[in-house]
Amino acid sequence: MSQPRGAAGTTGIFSKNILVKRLPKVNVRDRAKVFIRGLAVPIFILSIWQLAGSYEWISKTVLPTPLDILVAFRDLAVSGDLASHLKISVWRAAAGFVIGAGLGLVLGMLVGFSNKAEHYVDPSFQMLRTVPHLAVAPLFILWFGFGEVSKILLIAKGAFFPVYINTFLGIRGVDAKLFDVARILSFSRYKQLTKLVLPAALPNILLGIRLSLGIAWLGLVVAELMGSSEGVGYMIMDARQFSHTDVVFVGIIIFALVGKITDSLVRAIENRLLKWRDSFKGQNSFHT
Amino acid sequence: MTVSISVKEKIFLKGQREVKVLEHVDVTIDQGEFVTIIGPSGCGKSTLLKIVAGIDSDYEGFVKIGNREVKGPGTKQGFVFQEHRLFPWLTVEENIAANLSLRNSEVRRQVHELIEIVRLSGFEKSYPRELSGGMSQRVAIARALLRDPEVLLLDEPFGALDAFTRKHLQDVLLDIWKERQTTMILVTHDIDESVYLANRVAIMSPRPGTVGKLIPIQLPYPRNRTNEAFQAARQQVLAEFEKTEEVHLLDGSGI
Repeated sequence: MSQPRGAAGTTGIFSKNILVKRLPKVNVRDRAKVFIRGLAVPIFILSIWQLAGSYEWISKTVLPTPLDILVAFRDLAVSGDLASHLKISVWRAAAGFVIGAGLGLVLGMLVGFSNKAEHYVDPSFQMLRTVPHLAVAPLFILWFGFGEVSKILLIAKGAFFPVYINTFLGIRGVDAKLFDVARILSFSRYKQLTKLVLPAALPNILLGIRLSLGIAWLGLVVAELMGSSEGVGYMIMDARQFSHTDVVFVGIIIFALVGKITDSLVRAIENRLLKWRDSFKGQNSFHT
Repeated sequence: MTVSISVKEKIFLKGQREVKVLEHVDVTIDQGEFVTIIGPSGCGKSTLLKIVAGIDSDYEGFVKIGNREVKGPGTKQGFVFQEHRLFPWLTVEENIAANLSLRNSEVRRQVHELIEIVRLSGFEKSYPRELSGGMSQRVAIARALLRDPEVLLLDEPFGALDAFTRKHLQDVLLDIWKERQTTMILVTHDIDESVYLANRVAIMSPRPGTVGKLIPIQLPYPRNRTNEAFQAARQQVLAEFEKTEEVHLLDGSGI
């Protein structure tokens, strides 16, 4: 819980009034009010959108109405198509992510610990990092065909770098003063790793993982759009060919939802693992 | 364990210039002594302490604890820094145990005993961010004590604390000393603190740093800062201290 700070420093005859007015009363009714206020704009836009479609101001192939999208969503869910497409997409993203992020973690740690390793491999990685997905996609297809391997590798390539760079930075950012302590207390190499380096680098590593998840999802779309016969990306491509714009929308919404859910998951893990941290959490936050 | 310090020379490189930080420091500290080292800032007292700890080994001379020569840092030379230097991701008890496992019942017993000694019962599961400066420093002292050091080295451990907390921690430290008979070497720039704690006060003069006189303080513990004998001892140390200050100012080097 935080107190409002803005008014605390001001002095003068009005300061007391201001202070009283700015105290946030966080009770259920106010929370509901805030929630309803937040809904007002989306509801307004959705109504206009629905009206525009119903009165055929805009063609349905350009912009299907929210109801159409809902119906398309229901149809896909009932037929089981959505579940099967989603399953294969999640599997691809997960496999690519585990391979990429895992390698990123291991190599980031190696390069973080050893100057020699940094000198040998870091310049090459930095060079590869800037190569865009779409540029290497044709190469992967030539090498590995249209199968799962090229897709997963493409996702892994994207997922690798955020974890690699942030692990490296995290390890290099460990307070040298704490290394002195570890020397005095005669930490073994293993204890140095588990009690000092990894916990200290954890905030960075988790940030890397969050970024990497986002990029894995992005890589998935590229991989599925470039050629596949199943997956959410394929569903979008297929719908586009038949001008089923509503299904395209369903695909986009699914991507957004799953992306948000995975991100929230990592953030929850972050809050748990980093509860020792004492950092600025933003002003006037409502939650504790 | 007797601590014999014999530093012939310690040189720092400042840019292209060589600065002699320490010269001919020969001190022998007996088992169970409490020696405080005072001197003006920049006189090399922290450097001397780091040499004794084995953190700094780039010097001419030797340090011996008992018959063993100090070759590098180790748990037998316990060290407490000016800042607590706790691991922020470990709780109080985990910080004290550090690389030792709390699952070991003997370690756990000793950790909890030390938590009692430094008067932190109830804070076993707290993280350093939830502790005050004085409490954190007590954890740091407990962490050093768990390793059963032959000598405990303290580098201005209470320098950053307010007067009340400082007085309190000085008493905690004296209790520990009385109970455990650990040899203590404490660096400070506070004359009052040095007289309150030590049975011998070493005064360092700067450029190059060397230990002049070791003044014995033959007052019984616990000491009372307001009584005359204490003030007399304090005057004696202050008089010596001012001699070194004069030399320092005559050099025109400033602080």
